[in-house]
Amino acid sequence: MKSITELKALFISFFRIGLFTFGGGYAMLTLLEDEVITKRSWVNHDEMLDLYAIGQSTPGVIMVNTATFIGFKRAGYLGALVATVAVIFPSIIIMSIVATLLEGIGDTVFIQKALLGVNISVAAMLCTALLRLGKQSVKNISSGVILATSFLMVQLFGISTIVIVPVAALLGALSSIKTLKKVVK
Amino acid sequence: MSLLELFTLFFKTGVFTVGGGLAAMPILEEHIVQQGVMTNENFLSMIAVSQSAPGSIGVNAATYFGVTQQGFLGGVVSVIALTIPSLIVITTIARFFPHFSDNRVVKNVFGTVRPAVTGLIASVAFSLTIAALFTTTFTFDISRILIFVLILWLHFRFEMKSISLILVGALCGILFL
Repeated sequence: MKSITELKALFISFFRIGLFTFGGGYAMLTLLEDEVITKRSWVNHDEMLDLYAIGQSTPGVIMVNTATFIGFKRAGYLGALVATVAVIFPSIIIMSIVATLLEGIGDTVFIQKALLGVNISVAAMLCTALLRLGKQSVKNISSGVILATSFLMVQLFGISTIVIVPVAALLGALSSIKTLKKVVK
Repeated sequence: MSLLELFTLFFKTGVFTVGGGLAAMPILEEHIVQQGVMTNENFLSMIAVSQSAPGSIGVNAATYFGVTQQGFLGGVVSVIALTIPSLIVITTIARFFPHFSDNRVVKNVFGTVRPAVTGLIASVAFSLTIAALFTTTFTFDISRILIFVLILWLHFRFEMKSISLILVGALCGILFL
Protein backbone atom coordinates (compact mmCIF):
# COMPACT_ATOMS: atom_id res chain seq x y z
CA MET A 1 0.00 0.00 0.00
CA LYS A 2 1.70 3.17 -1.17
CA SER A 3 1.85 5.74 1.52
CA ILE A 4 0.04 9.02 1.14
CA THR A 5 3.22 10.85 2.11
CA GLU A 6 5.03 9.31 -0.85
CA LEU A 7 2.30 10.39 -3.24
CA LYS A 8 2.17 13.86 -1.72
CA ALA A 9 5.95 14.19 -2.12
CA LEU A 10 5.69 13.12 -5.76
CA PHE A 11 2.93 15.61 -6.39
CA ILE A 12 4.73 18.52 -4.76
CA SER A 13 8.06 17.86 -6.46
CA PHE A 14 6.67 17.40 -9.92
CA PHE A 15 4.23 20.27 -9.57
CA ARG A 16 7.23 22.44 -8.80
CA ILE A 17 9.12 21.10 -11.79
CA GLY A 18 6.13 21.69 -14.05
CA LEU A 19 5.76 25.21 -12.68
CA PHE A 20 9.33 26.40 -12.94
CA THR A 21 10.57 24.77 -16.09
CA PHE A 22 10.90 27.51 -18.64
CA GLY A 23 12.02 26.64 -22.12
CA GLY A 24 12.02 22.87 -21.73
CA GLY A 25 14.94 20.55 -22.34
CA TYR A 26 18.07 21.59 -20.50
CA ALA A 27 16.31 23.98 -18.18
CA MET A 28 14.16 21.15 -16.97
CA LEU A 29 17.13 18.88 -16.53
CA THR A 30 18.77 21.18 -13.97
CA LEU A 31 15.57 21.69 -12.05
CA LEU A 32 14.81 17.99 -12.21
CA GLU A 33 18.22 17.08 -10.87
CA ASP A 34 17.94 19.54 -8.03
CA GLU A 35 14.58 18.25 -7.01
CA VAL A 36 14.90 14.55 -7.68
CA ILE A 37 18.55 13.79 -7.04
CA THR A 38 19.68 16.37 -4.53
CA LYS A 39 16.56 17.02 -2.54
CA ARG A 40 14.70 13.74 -2.59
CA SER A 41 17.37 11.21 -3.53
CA TRP A 42 14.90 9.37 -5.71
CA VAL A 43 17.46 8.60 -8.39
CA ASN A 44 21.19 9.07 -8.86
CA HIS A 45 23.03 10.71 -11.75
CA ASP A 46 23.49 7.57 -13.81
CA GLU A 47 19.85 6.65 -13.55
CA MET A 48 19.06 10.23 -14.53
CA LEU A 49 21.04 9.93 -17.76
CA ASP A 50 19.29 6.66 -18.43
CA LEU A 51 15.91 8.28 -17.91
CA TYR A 52 16.81 11.06 -20.27
CA ALA A 53 17.80 8.52 -22.90
CA ILE A 54 14.53 6.69 -22.47
CA GLY A 55 12.62 9.95 -22.65
CA GLN A 56 14.30 10.70 -25.95
CA SER A 57 13.47 7.39 -27.60
CA THR A 58 9.89 6.97 -26.53
CA PRO A 59 6.76 8.79 -27.51
CA GLY A 60 5.80 11.70 -25.38
CA VAL A 61 7.26 14.81 -23.93
CA ILE A 62 10.47 14.35 -21.94
CA MET A 63 9.30 16.25 -18.90
CA VAL A 64 6.17 14.12 -18.66
CA ASN A 65 7.95 10.86 -19.39
CA THR A 66 10.46 11.48 -16.63
CA ALA A 67 7.68 12.25 -14.19
CA THR A 68 5.83 9.09 -15.18
CA PHE A 69 8.92 6.97 -14.84
CA ILE A 70 10.04 8.25 -11.47
CA GLY A 71 6.47 8.23 -10.19
CA PHE A 72 6.17 4.58 -11.19
CA LYS A 73 9.49 3.71 -9.59
CA ARG A 74 8.46 5.29 -6.29
CA ALA A 75 4.83 4.28 -6.07
CA GLY A 76 3.74 2.04 -8.91
CA TYR A 77 0.93 2.92 -11.30
CA LEU A 78 -0.69 5.33 -8.88
CA GLY A 79 2.63 7.11 -8.40
CA ALA A 80 3.05 7.38 -12.17
CA LEU A 81 -0.39 8.92 -12.45
CA VAL A 82 0.10 11.37 -9.59
CA ALA A 83 3.51 12.53 -10.85
CA THR A 84 2.24 12.93 -14.41
CA VAL A 85 -0.82 14.93 -13.37
CA ALA A 86 1.34 17.07 -11.08
CA VAL A 87 3.80 17.98 -13.82
CA ILE A 88 1.15 19.01 -16.35
CA PHE A 89 -1.12 20.75 -13.86
CA PRO A 90 0.64 24.15 -13.85
CA SER A 91 0.65 24.18 -17.65
CA ILE A 92 -3.06 23.57 -17.82
CA ILE A 93 -3.89 26.40 -15.46
CA ILE A 94 -1.47 28.93 -16.92
CA MET A 95 -2.15 28.18 -20.55
CA SER A 96 -5.90 28.23 -20.07
CA ILE A 97 -5.67 31.70 -18.58
CA VAL A 98 -3.30 32.92 -21.29
CA ALA A 99 -5.37 31.45 -24.12
CA THR A 100 -8.55 33.03 -22.82
CA LEU A 101 -6.83 36.39 -22.32
CA LEU A 102 -5.29 36.42 -25.77
CA GLU A 103 -8.58 35.61 -27.40
CA GLY A 104 -10.07 38.58 -25.62
CA ILE A 105 -7.45 41.19 -26.45
CA GLY A 106 -6.09 39.70 -29.66
CA ASP A 107 -7.87 42.06 -32.01
CA THR A 108 -6.14 45.33 -31.28
CA VAL A 109 -3.67 46.63 -33.86
CA PHE A 110 -1.10 46.87 -31.10
CA ILE A 111 -1.30 43.18 -30.32
CA GLN A 112 -1.44 42.27 -33.99
CA LYS A 113 1.81 44.05 -34.69
CA ALA A 114 3.45 42.57 -31.62
CA LEU A 115 2.35 39.10 -32.66
CA LEU A 116 3.74 39.61 -36.15
CA GLY A 117 7.10 40.37 -34.61
CA VAL A 118 6.72 37.44 -32.25
CA ASN A 119 6.06 35.13 -35.17
CA ILE A 120 9.30 36.17 -36.80
CA SER A 121 11.10 35.48 -33.52
CA VAL A 122 9.56 32.05 -33.29
CA ALA A 123 10.50 31.26 -36.87
CA ALA A 124 14.08 32.28 -36.11
CA MET A 125 14.11 30.22 -32.93
CA LEU A 126 12.75 27.22 -34.76
CA CYS A 127 15.62 27.53 -37.20
CA THR A 128 18.19 27.68 -34.43
CA ALA A 129 16.59 24.71 -32.67
CA LEU A 130 16.69 22.90 -35.96
CA LEU A 131 20.41 23.58 -36.31
CA ARG A 132 21.04 22.16 -32.88
CA LEU A 133 18.87 19.11 -33.50
CA GLY A 134 20.51 18.60 -36.84
CA LYS A 135 23.96 18.49 -35.29
CA GLN A 136 22.75 16.07 -32.62
CA SER A 137 20.86 13.68 -34.85
CA VAL A 138 23.03 13.59 -37.95
CA LYS A 139 26.25 11.77 -37.15
CA ASN A 140 26.90 10.12 -40.47
CA ILE A 141 25.83 10.09 -44.09
CA SER A 142 22.91 7.72 -43.65
CA SER A 143 21.27 9.83 -40.95
CA GLY A 144 21.82 12.86 -43.15
CA VAL A 145 20.08 11.08 -45.98
CA ILE A 146 17.20 10.13 -43.68
CA LEU A 147 16.79 13.72 -42.62
CA ALA A 148 16.82 15.00 -46.18
CA THR A 149 14.42 12.30 -47.31
CA SER A 150 11.85 12.97 -44.63
CA PHE A 151 12.09 16.71 -45.33
CA LEU A 152 11.52 16.15 -49.03
CA MET A 153 8.76 13.63 -48.50
CA VAL A 154 6.76 16.23 -46.63
CA GLN A 155 7.59 19.27 -48.76
CA LEU A 156 7.29 17.63 -52.16
CA PHE A 157 4.79 14.85 -51.63
CA GLY A 158 2.91 15.99 -48.56
CA ILE A 159 3.44 12.66 -46.81
CA SER A 160 2.22 12.67 -43.26
CA THR A 161 4.28 12.51 -40.07
CA ILE A 162 2.18 9.53 -39.11
CA VAL A 163 3.68 7.61 -41.99
CA ILE A 164 7.24 8.81 -41.72
CA VAL A 165 7.91 8.06 -38.05
CA PRO A 166 6.87 4.38 -38.15
CA VAL A 167 8.70 3.85 -41.45
CA ALA A 168 11.86 5.29 -39.95
CA ALA A 169 11.40 3.13 -36.87
CA LEU A 170 10.96 0.06 -39.04
CA LEU A 171 14.13 0.89 -40.97
CA GLY A 172 15.98 1.15 -37.69
CA ALA A 173 14.64 -2.16 -36.48
CA LEU A 174 15.48 -3.85 -39.77
CA SER A 175 19.04 -2.55 -39.65
CA SER A 176 19.36 -4.37 -36.35
CA ILE A 177 18.58 -7.64 -38.08
CA LYS A 178 21.39 -6.99 -40.51
CA THR A 179 23.86 -6.47 -37.69
CA LEU A 180 22.64 -9.60 -35.95
CA LYS A 181 23.04 -11.58 -39.16
CA LYS A 182 26.60 -10.36 -39.49
CA VAL A 183 27.34 -11.46 -35.95
CA VAL A 184 25.82 -14.90 -36.56
CA LYS A 185 27.91 -15.36 -39.70
CA MET B 1 -12.88 21.11 -33.61
CA SER B 2 -15.09 19.01 -31.43
CA LEU B 3 -13.94 17.43 -28.19
CA LEU B 4 -13.70 14.08 -29.90
CA GLU B 5 -11.61 15.53 -32.72
CA LEU B 6 -9.37 17.22 -30.16
CA PHE B 7 -8.93 13.95 -28.33
CA THR B 8 -8.09 12.05 -31.49
CA LEU B 9 -5.67 14.68 -32.71
CA PHE B 10 -3.71 14.91 -29.49
CA PHE B 11 -3.75 11.18 -28.86
CA LYS B 12 -2.18 10.73 -32.30
CA THR B 13 0.26 13.50 -31.49
CA GLY B 14 1.14 11.84 -28.22
CA VAL B 15 1.96 8.60 -29.99
CA PHE B 16 4.19 10.10 -32.66
CA THR B 17 5.98 12.81 -30.71
CA VAL B 18 9.32 11.20 -30.12
CA GLY B 19 12.33 12.99 -28.73
CA GLY B 20 11.00 16.21 -27.32
CA GLY B 21 7.98 18.47 -27.50
CA LEU B 22 9.17 20.14 -30.68
CA ALA B 23 8.44 16.90 -32.53
CA ALA B 24 4.76 17.54 -31.94
CA MET B 25 4.87 20.59 -34.22
CA PRO B 26 4.92 18.75 -37.56
CA ILE B 27 1.82 16.73 -36.73
CA LEU B 28 0.01 19.71 -35.30
CA GLU B 29 0.94 21.91 -38.25
CA GLU B 30 -0.38 19.26 -40.59
CA HIS B 31 -3.69 18.83 -38.86
CA ILE B 32 -4.28 22.35 -37.66
CA VAL B 33 -2.86 24.72 -40.23
CA GLN B 34 -3.12 22.63 -43.38
CA GLN B 35 -6.69 21.72 -42.50
CA GLY B 36 -7.47 25.39 -42.17
CA VAL B 37 -8.40 25.35 -38.50
CA MET B 38 -5.79 27.96 -37.70
CA THR B 39 -3.69 30.29 -39.80
CA ASN B 40 0.10 30.06 -39.97
CA GLU B 41 0.30 33.29 -38.03
CA ASN B 42 -1.90 32.10 -35.19
CA PHE B 43 -0.06 28.83 -35.12
CA LEU B 44 3.26 30.65 -34.72
CA SER B 45 1.79 32.75 -31.94
CA MET B 46 0.62 29.59 -30.26
CA ILE B 47 4.14 28.17 -30.40
CA ALA B 48 5.47 31.45 -29.02
CA VAL B 49 3.20 31.35 -26.02
CA SER B 50 3.76 27.63 -25.49
CA GLN B 51 7.48 28.16 -25.52
CA SER B 52 7.43 31.10 -23.13
CA ALA B 53 5.13 29.69 -20.50
CA PRO B 54 6.44 27.28 -17.89
CA GLY B 55 6.17 23.64 -18.76
CA SER B 56 6.75 21.63 -21.84
CA ILE B 57 5.97 23.13 -25.24
CA GLY B 58 3.87 20.15 -26.23
CA VAL B 59 1.69 20.22 -23.14
CA ASN B 60 1.27 23.98 -23.38
CA ALA B 61 0.36 23.89 -27.05
CA ALA B 62 -2.21 21.17 -26.41
CA THR B 63 -3.85 23.18 -23.64
CA TYR B 64 -3.78 26.38 -25.64
CA PHE B 65 -5.28 24.88 -28.75
CA GLY B 66 -7.85 22.91 -26.81
CA VAL B 67 -8.96 26.06 -25.02
CA THR B 68 -9.34 28.01 -28.27
CA GLN B 69 -11.56 25.25 -29.62
CA GLN B 70 -13.65 24.14 -26.67
CA GLY B 71 -12.76 26.27 -23.69
CA PHE B 72 -11.25 24.91 -20.52
CA LEU B 73 -12.69 21.44 -21.04
CA GLY B 74 -11.11 21.37 -24.49
CA GLY B 75 -7.77 22.20 -22.96
CA VAL B 76 -8.04 19.45 -20.38
CA VAL B 77 -9.18 16.84 -22.91
CA SER B 78 -6.33 17.75 -25.26
CA VAL B 79 -3.64 17.44 -22.60
CA ILE B 80 -5.01 14.19 -21.27
CA ALA B 81 -5.15 12.77 -24.79
CA LEU B 82 -1.57 13.84 -25.37
CA THR B 83 -0.38 12.23 -22.17
CA ILE B 84 -2.16 8.87 -22.28
CA PRO B 85 0.09 7.16 -24.88
CA SER B 86 3.28 8.03 -23.06
CA LEU B 87 1.78 7.08 -19.70
CA ILE B 88 1.07 3.61 -21.06
CA VAL B 89 4.39 3.22 -22.85
CA ILE B 90 6.54 4.50 -20.01
CA THR B 91 4.88 2.49 -17.25
CA THR B 92 5.16 -0.62 -19.42
CA ILE B 93 8.83 0.00 -20.01
CA ALA B 94 9.43 0.77 -16.35
CA ARG B 95 7.69 -2.43 -15.35
CA PHE B 96 8.86 -4.93 -17.94
CA PHE B 97 11.93 -3.59 -19.68
CA PRO B 98 14.55 -2.49 -17.19
CA HIS B 99 17.31 -2.45 -19.78
CA PHE B 100 15.34 -0.57 -22.41
CA SER B 101 17.94 2.06 -23.22
CA ASP B 102 20.73 -0.51 -23.51
CA ASN B 103 18.90 -2.59 -26.06
CA ARG B 104 20.57 -2.64 -29.47
CA VAL B 105 17.33 -2.61 -31.45
CA VAL B 106 16.12 0.39 -29.50
CA LYS B 107 19.37 2.20 -30.17
CA ASN B 108 19.13 1.49 -33.88
CA VAL B 109 15.53 2.59 -34.05
CA PHE B 110 16.45 5.72 -32.19
CA GLY B 111 19.24 6.29 -34.70
CA THR B 112 16.84 6.35 -37.61
CA VAL B 113 13.82 7.97 -36.02
CA ARG B 114 15.72 10.93 -34.68
CA PRO B 115 17.02 12.26 -38.01
CA ALA B 116 13.65 11.53 -39.59
CA VAL B 117 11.89 13.63 -36.95
CA THR B 118 14.50 16.35 -37.37
CA GLY B 119 13.69 16.34 -41.07
CA LEU B 120 10.03 16.80 -40.21
CA ILE B 121 10.84 19.69 -37.92
CA ALA B 122 12.96 21.14 -40.72
CA SER B 123 9.93 21.00 -42.95
CA VAL B 124 7.76 22.82 -40.43
CA ALA B 125 10.49 25.38 -39.73
CA PHE B 126 10.76 26.00 -43.45
CA SER B 127 7.01 26.49 -43.97
CA LEU B 128 6.58 28.66 -40.90
CA THR B 129 9.60 30.83 -41.70
CA ILE B 130 8.24 31.53 -45.16
CA ALA B 131 4.87 32.34 -43.61
CA ALA B 132 6.41 34.71 -41.07
CA LEU B 133 8.69 36.53 -43.47
CA PHE B 134 6.44 36.96 -46.45
CA THR B 135 2.92 38.31 -46.57
CA THR B 136 0.15 36.33 -48.25
CA THR B 137 0.85 38.09 -51.50
CA PHE B 138 4.48 37.02 -51.32
CA THR B 139 5.75 40.57 -51.33
CA PHE B 140 9.25 41.12 -50.13
CA ASP B 141 9.30 42.84 -46.77
CA ILE B 142 12.80 43.88 -45.78
CA SER B 143 11.88 44.88 -42.25
CA ARG B 144 10.67 41.39 -41.45
CA ILE B 145 13.86 39.86 -42.76
CA LEU B 146 15.91 42.32 -40.73
CA ILE B 147 14.06 41.39 -37.56
CA PHE B 148 14.65 37.73 -38.39
CA VAL B 149 18.36 38.32 -38.76
CA LEU B 150 18.42 40.38 -35.57
CA ILE B 151 16.89 37.56 -33.58
CA LEU B 152 19.36 35.07 -35.01
CA TRP B 153 22.22 37.39 -34.14
CA LEU B 154 20.97 37.93 -30.58
CA HIS B 155 20.69 34.21 -30.13
CA PHE B 156 24.12 33.30 -31.43
CA ARG B 157 26.05 36.28 -30.14
CA PHE B 158 24.49 36.70 -26.70
CA GLU B 159 22.79 33.35 -26.14
CA MET B 160 19.62 35.19 -25.32
CA LYS B 161 16.86 33.08 -23.87
CA SER B 162 13.65 32.22 -25.68
CA ILE B 163 11.42 34.52 -23.66
CA SER B 164 13.73 37.49 -24.21
CA LEU B 165 13.87 36.78 -27.92
CA ILE B 166 10.11 36.65 -28.13
CA LEU B 167 9.81 39.93 -26.25
CA VAL B 168 12.34 41.55 -28.57
CA GLY B 169 10.30 40.26 -31.48
CA ALA B 170 7.14 41.73 -30.03
CA LEU B 171 8.84 45.07 -29.50
CA CYS B 172 10.21 45.13 -33.03
CA GLY B 173 6.79 44.25 -34.33
CA ILE B 174 5.20 47.18 -32.55
CA LEU B 175 7.93 49.61 -33.55
CA PHE B 176 8.76 48.63 -37.09
CA LEU B 177 5.92 46.66 -38.63
